Amino acid sequence: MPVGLDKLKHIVVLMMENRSFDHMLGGLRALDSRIDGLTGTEFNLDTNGGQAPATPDAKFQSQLDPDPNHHFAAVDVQIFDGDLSPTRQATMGGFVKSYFEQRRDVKHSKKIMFHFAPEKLPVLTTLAREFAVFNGWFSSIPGPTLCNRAFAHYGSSFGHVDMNVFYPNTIFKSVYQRLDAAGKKAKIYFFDFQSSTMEIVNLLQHQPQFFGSFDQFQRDCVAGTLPDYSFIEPNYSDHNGSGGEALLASDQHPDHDVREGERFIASVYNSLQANPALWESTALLIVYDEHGGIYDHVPPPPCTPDGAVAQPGQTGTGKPFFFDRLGVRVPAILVSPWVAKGTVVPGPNDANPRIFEHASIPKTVTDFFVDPNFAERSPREKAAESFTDLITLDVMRTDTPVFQLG
Amino acid sequence: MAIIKVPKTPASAFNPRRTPSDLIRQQIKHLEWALLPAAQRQPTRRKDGTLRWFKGGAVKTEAQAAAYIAVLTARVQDAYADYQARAARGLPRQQQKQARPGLLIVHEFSPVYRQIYGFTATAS
Repeated sequence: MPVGLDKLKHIVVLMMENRSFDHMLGGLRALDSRIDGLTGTEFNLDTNGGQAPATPDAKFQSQLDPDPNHHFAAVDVQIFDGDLSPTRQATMGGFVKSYFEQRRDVKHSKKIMFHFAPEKLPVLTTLAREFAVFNGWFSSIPGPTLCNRAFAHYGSSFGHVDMNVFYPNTIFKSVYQRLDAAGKKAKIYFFDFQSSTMEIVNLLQHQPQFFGSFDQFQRDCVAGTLPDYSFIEPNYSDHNGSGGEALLASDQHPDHDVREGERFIASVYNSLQANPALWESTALLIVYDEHGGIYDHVPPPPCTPDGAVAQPGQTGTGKPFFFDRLGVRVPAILVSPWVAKGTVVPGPNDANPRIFEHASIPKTVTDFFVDPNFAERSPREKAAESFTDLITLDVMRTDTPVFQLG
Repeated sequence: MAIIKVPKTPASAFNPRRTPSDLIRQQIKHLEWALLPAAQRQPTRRKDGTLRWFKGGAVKTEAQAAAYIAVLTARVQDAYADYQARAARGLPRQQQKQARPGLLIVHEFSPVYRQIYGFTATAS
């Protein structure tokens, strides 16, 4: 076992909102050809038949308004370009058409193809190049936030592909319950009470003991009392703090300013790095819940069915969904001083591909902290990849970057 | 060791008057649902498709949503604590069930809420 893995005591997951891999990290291909980003030749056809190219013209705010549709039926159009035939292929050709439907403005619809130049996102792109970036981490469902986040907590969405209230009677225990039963500590840190959590119906309602605030996360980092497993939620809204100060949304959900999300990611990283004992014993995964309707060029691969069927009324496509295909690819980065600099985890377009999805989170955490043979998991979690094997170093790095917040 | 400077987000990015996203509206729905008595937690809808219990339609801005979410979050936690306390006191099972979530919390919040936050939620 590598020394780094032997030292590992804490796993922290920070889940951001609604940005695709290409949108945030696609520009990195020009700097490192191993990263499966954009070549500059990718395009969709707009509704007039003209080309809408993927260009580095993304803005921090006020560009993706209205919020791009990312409900199941719209994502189906984005992936399959509206083809509902039995022999259809995932072309990733329907993003512009899907966005056009919301404002019926051809020029505006092309903005869904835009991505950030790497220098505009210094935090995320630095972490991607300094640590391990995943070429093949996909959202679990080609759909919206809540069903995707459910996979991060349970390894399943219990047959749901939407935002409705669900899983009041869960079949599988949450990863927090599993750790608790094993005598380990786990916590969900939400930003503050005004931002709260997206994990309400089962977790907040029935397991409130697992929740804390981001202030508490920072205090736990200083005190060295971080739980074995931590899940962090960003600030979901612009609001005033208790002292009247302006607190900007940091979730990066359109139309929130992406720069504040960069600062939030850096603040989580800094909190860990500032405590040397914590830094050498912690792995931080930064991942996005889903693509938010924004373009990515890699077709989502098939996957192990989850044993459930979403009926046509739920999918909105007129067809059932068998949970046998992943959602659109999202940014994912594993940070640890024991991860080799410049690690690129191969994805579906690479040799020896590894496919990750949000069920990889409970899979990894349960394997590491509870029991690799823990049986009561969803089919998707059982089949999911684990990521602790990316911690390969025997000597801790001392060259890791430092973020200085202005 | 590289030092990366991360600039402040411009103050102009702050817009508490922004219309809440579908995500935030869903968050409110889930919180309201969690505060309903168990017997009322049915996924029934009105003719226009909105969920029957949803009162958050009066929330027009992110700041209002944030204030409302804070109240609801605290009450969900209080309701759980109250339920645990009743269970610990050994109340009969039927009474525990009746007491479980915060009864009438959503319906009674508006006068207090108006006093604190300056607007009133009305049924959508």
